[in-house]
Amino acid sequence: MESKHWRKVDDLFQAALDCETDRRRAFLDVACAGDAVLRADVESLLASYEQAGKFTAAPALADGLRVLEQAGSEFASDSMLGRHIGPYRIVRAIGSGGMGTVYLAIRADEAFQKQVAIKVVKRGPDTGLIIRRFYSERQMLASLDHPNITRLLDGGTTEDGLPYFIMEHVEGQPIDQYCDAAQLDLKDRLRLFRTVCSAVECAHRSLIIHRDIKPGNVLVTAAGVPKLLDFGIAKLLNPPAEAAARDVTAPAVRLMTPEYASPEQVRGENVTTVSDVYSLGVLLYQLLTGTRPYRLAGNAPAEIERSICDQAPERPSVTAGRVLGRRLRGDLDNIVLMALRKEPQRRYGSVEQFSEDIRRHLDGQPVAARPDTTGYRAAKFIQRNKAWVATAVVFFFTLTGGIAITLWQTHVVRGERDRARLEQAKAARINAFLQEMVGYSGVAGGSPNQKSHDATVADMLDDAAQRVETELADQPEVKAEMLGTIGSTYMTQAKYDLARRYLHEAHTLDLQLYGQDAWQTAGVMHSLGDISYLAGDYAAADSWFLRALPIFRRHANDADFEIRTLLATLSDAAFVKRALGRLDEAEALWREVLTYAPRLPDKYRSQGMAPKTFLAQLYVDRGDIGKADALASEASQELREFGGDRFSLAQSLIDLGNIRRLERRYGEADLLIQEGTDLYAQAQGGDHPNVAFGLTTLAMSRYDQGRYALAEQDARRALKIVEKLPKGHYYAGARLALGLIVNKTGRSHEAEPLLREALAIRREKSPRQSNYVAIALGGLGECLFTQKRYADAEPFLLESYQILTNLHVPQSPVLKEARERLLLLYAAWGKPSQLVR
Amino acid sequence: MGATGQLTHLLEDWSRGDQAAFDQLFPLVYDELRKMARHHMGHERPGHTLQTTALVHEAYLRLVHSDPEGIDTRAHFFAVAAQVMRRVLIDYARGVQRVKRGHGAQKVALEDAALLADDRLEGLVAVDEALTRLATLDPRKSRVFEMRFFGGMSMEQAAGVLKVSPITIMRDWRMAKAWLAREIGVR
Repeated sequence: MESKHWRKVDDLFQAALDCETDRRRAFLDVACAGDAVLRADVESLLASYEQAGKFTAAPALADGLRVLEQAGSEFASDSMLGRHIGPYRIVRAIGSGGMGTVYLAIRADEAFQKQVAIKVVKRGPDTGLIIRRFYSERQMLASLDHPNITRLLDGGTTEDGLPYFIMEHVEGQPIDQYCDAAQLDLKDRLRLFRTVCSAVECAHRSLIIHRDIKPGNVLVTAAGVPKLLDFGIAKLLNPPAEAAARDVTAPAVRLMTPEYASPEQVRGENVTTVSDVYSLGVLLYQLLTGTRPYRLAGNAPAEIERSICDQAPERPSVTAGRVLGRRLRGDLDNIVLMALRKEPQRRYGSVEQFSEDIRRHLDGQPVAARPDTTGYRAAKFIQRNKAWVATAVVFFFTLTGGIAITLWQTHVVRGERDRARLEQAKAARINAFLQEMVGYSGVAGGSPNQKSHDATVADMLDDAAQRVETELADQPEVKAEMLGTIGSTYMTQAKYDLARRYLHEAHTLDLQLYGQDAWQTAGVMHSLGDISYLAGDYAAADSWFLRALPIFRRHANDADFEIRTLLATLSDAAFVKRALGRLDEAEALWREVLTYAPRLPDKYRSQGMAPKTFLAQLYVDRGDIGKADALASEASQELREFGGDRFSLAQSLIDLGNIRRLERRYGEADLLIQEGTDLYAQAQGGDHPNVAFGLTTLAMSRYDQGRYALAEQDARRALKIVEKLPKGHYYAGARLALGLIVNKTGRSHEAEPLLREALAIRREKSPRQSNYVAIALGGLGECLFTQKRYADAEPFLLESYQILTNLHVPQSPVLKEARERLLLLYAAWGKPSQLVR
Repeated sequence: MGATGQLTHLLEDWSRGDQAAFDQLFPLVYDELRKMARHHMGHERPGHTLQTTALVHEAYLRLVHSDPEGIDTRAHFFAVAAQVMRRVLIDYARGVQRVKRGHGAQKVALEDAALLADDRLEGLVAVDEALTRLATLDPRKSRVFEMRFFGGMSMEQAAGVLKVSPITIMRDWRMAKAWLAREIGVR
């Protein structure tokens, strides 16, 4: 610190400086008064002072700015040069952006020199968060294996605590520059773009959203191979909305490149796979026209948001100029603008659909994309018909989530089957009919009013159904397919009567055309089984599957998709058995699925593995937690390794979490459930019912741990999501969880109506002899017990216990709890126990 | 809250003595400086340092213009900027030196070295080290020098941040200059 000497030197130095130069010596003679050391000190400072100007005349500020502007512009960057990260030595910066700098590095300790790219993230308030997220996701990112995706090799933190990611190094040009340099024609550009799409599709199957697709992230090698960079990195760097909301100090800057960001990204809303569809749309626009769809008005966030969210993009054919424009007009205009729709739900439902539409254009087939002006309802319908069948089924009807998976897979499989089975001409006729139908704008009495679009879609479906009758009368094969499609679409709209009617018509026609043992006939029978199941008519569902299954089994020797159809049917049939309470038969069907699994190619392996999750559920139904855990662990591990389909993985994680909860391994339970829920949210949006399912499970885990405040938050969030839906299982589950929590925290009168409603729904939707009903009964019984209404509580607790006794294995923790509850009741009530001890 | 708004709030917190705010300020100010550098340095030729400084000051002013208590906030912005600049320059200089000392395999980064003359780089590193020593001897003098030299701040601005009179700042600056020059052996 400031010593006495220092202060004295300072004072003398200042005073001497204030003297006229020629009087300094005299001043020091007096002031230092024989202290030679002091005098020498002050004099040397005075001498240095005269020289100091040489150095300080040029403020370092200007140097700093020059370094910032020219030298790769990262203060971290230059300090990294020459350093070692793991076995790699940093050679030079090869790029920099908002999030950090990318370096070229080589592996120095080997005979051959391996080059990698290392992205070092710059320091920020959320540095720690990035590192934590990276460790939680690294396995999934590292599992991304696709020839057009650069691999993430490793990651960690530098000695300064900055996060870094080590990636495969790609020598290449940004795709837009490559296309121009290689003078690719329109068709080649489209083909190259489809390759990029295939890489994005692969990542989406593993639930990884890119979030920052732009030319700079799509490099094309000299051999013409496109490579996507930075998959999953954007997510690591952008906290999920929820985390950002908690941390108000996080910078408001979102790190994506605004020119390619979707409206939902700019607004900071949920980012899903469809956001990548949008960014790909901007990229395609640029590849086709040489410019981006709109100019940003300025740099201010509000201006960027306005440009992206409000400004309608010009049609590519108009932007491209007259010559090229002629070739873009029509299909390509429609395709690009469909990907660029502002509302995510009006875009292509997946990258696959986007890419497929380009393929159709390349092959001279009619495309699905329609102009937006007449196309609102049309697009809506197409999406319901195609995307809906694939995804919306998941939305509405889920018993456990499991049925949703198989339904979803079934429809995907069916789409492929259609393509493969129908010869080209027939497919084209169906396509043309569909397009004509959905392009039909003269819906009687209906104005194209967005608010009533659901009614309009229903009108259009009805209209389509009528036209099938009249216009396809002479093309029975096409008519049968269309009737089946219409029936399935009604099914997704919960119009069970209509769905059943058209499926029956399709079935009748199938019988005439193909006979009762044909593959085509079995397909519709499967749909009839599904519709009966969804409508709660389990007996009818069972009989449909009983008839369809032998046919599918016979065909299962042929090709992949036929095996996969069989597996989907077996699995759905198992759900029906389970709903009927015939758990052994359900188990046998799922076991059969597992025997086929090894015959599936890797790409579809997850479908063969999903039954492990369902079987695990079945063991949970029986309270056989040990067996359930073994299967569920296996299932989720395999799904992770194979990068399997996302719904299955999310579901299996939540299921495993629930099992760990029952085993009282709460730490693991919470992590698993959270991860599964995040996956669902990422893929389907934060307000999807599957997210509610995850939150409800999380709430139950926290309830078991006695963390009631947290539990209540989760349950209320779940309830908020499901309240908008028809009152089904998710709704009942969320009410039940909240009821239990509220009851435990001294509000049992508030809890009672919640629990009664949950029980009523479960009684209606599930067989009497089921876990679901038993648990709801137990919940209500406990609530009445808390209110000391022992006589009222007794019948509920007894019934719950009796069901569980029939259903569960003796060592079941759920059974044990029900028994204890009952014993407690009798002890409190002072009534002799009704239980056989 | 926009980025500028957030910056202003953090600067206010920091000027009220909240040290945690500084850690958040650092990256934000860094970003602002980089933006300014991009805007103003693009066409600048070496040697026009005074003009550059003026431009940056003008940009600072715009940044915190709307703030009614702007004078104080602005000064604090400069103070952070000074520390950012010091770090940027020193990291840069050390990086260049490391590459030069490297095993000869990578000369690639050397072209960057032309950005600043070698003796200037050495001088900056020496100043940085000496300044750190000065901070233990007389922290305020060390800060005054940092603000003036690395941040281009005026005496009045430094006085605003350190809450002392401009005369004191002037005296600190003189002493710091002399002491540093002696330490690093400027001749």
